[in-house]
Amino acid sequence: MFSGFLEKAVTATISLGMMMFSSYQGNTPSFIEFGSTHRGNRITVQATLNNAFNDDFRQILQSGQEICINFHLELRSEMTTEILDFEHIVLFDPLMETWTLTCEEKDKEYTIESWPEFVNAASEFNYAAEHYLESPLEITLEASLPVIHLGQNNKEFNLMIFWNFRKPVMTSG
Amino acid sequence: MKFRFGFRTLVIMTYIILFTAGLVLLYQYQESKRQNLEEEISSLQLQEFMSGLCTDHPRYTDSARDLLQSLNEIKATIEVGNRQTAIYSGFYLVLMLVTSLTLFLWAIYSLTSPLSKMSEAARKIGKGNFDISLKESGTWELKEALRSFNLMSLQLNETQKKLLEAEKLSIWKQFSRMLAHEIKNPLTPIRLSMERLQEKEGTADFDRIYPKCIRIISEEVDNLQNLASNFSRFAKDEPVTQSRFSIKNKLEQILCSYEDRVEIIFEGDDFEIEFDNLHFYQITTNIVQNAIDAAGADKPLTIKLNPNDRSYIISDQGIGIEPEDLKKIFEPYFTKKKKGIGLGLALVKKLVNINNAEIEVISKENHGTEFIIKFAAQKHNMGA
Repeated sequence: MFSGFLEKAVTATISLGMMMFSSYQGNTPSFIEFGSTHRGNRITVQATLNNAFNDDFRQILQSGQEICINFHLELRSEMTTEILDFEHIVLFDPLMETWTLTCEEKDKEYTIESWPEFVNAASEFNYAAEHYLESPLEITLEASLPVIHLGQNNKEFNLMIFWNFRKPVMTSG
Repeated sequence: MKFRFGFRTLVIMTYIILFTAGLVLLYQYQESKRQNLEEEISSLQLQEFMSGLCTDHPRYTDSARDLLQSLNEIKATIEVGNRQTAIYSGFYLVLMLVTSLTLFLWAIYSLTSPLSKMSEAARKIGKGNFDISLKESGTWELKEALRSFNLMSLQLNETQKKLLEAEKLSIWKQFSRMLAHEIKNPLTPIRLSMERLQEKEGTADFDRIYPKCIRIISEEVDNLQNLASNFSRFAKDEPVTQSRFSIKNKLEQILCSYEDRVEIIFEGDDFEIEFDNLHFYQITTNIVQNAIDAAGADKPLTIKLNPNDRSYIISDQGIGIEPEDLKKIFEPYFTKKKKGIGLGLALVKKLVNINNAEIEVISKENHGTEFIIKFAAQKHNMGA
């Protein structure tokens, strides 16, 4: 509870600081077009990340490093909770200027040439699988960015700063 | 607590404005420098150059890719660094603002709180409560000021106590002197009458002087009794039983016994008052008797009724009261009469006050004196 409160206090302070002192507002990511179905044993979850990869993010994704966008999915029934973690893995080829995107939840890999197309593909989350869970089901999807190491000094950077340390979360139930 | 725009608010607002403006300016300066750096880096057009170069020379493709990757990584590092700076600077500046503001408010409060307490204490002292001691806290200058204030309060308290004791002593002395005099006055004729009776006992004159001596003794005993009942009445807490009555009718009833002694002229229109009947009688008879004593029975008394300002005025055409004495006439035991103990007007003042009325005296030497009694506004009877 305390860590949750601290996290909220930090994000509120950051937002206030940005509002007061900076013209840079960062990304304000959220899930849109969130949908989920539970028919028989089959569960599907769809969501799109909105406003998560504005232009200032591009430089990071173009660094040539493998960068992961994390999706944390919780399927909670009255008796059981299943936790699933997926990644959208991004790799940029600086010479060919192409993006390779692996969506773990779909188990698919894409090669994309344009930035807008890449943003669309990376933002979409589509999950479908069989789970033996009883209804009613509460589904929570949360996205986050990892800590990466950049440069010759291998310096650590938390990419969540691009999202102002706010994790987009969506719950259905 | 009531908000007032005072020194404290002014200082706090000035501080917040100046401090925030300073931080914003500092941040903007740093931001502009950062943007310059960002623009410089993004203007590097190595990508296209390297792509063209490497297509023609496949053996260098891997090296070119590594080089471009390194370049992009450097750009990314700078980008992330810039974003970190933007976010963390804002975060730390807000923390700094909150912390410094808290400290500043605390400092201002510590500085002004004792002053507010001193101001409040000074108000209490002004109202006569000298028994005040403030807690000596804050910086040494404030402690010093509070210590001086406490010392002043203590000294004032002691001085007041001494003054009260002196006043009490003076009143007792005056009272004892006056009481002794008042008791001695009837005692002397009583003693003389008794001595005469003793002297003439068994002689032919005894029967002749006996009734006269007895009458004198009886009269003087009556005087002593009156004296005692006057003191008793003054010292007693009078209960107030107010009733509504017409002032003119009441005055006529009270003053009918004076009509054969003095001419009384009534002026003005009648009105109703709420007052204690007995107190009204005591007030009126005391003032009228004083007026007769001052002016003599040959000069008429005027009683003027003023319904507009709910007052009545008893005027005499006597010798008036000297300005110096005018201040003291309601003080107990102040009298200029040869026969009097100075309790009459003190009692009048007391009775007027306990009935929520006011009394005022206007006097001109050799012209006369006016006693003005103003009654409180009448209570409306809602049920009526």
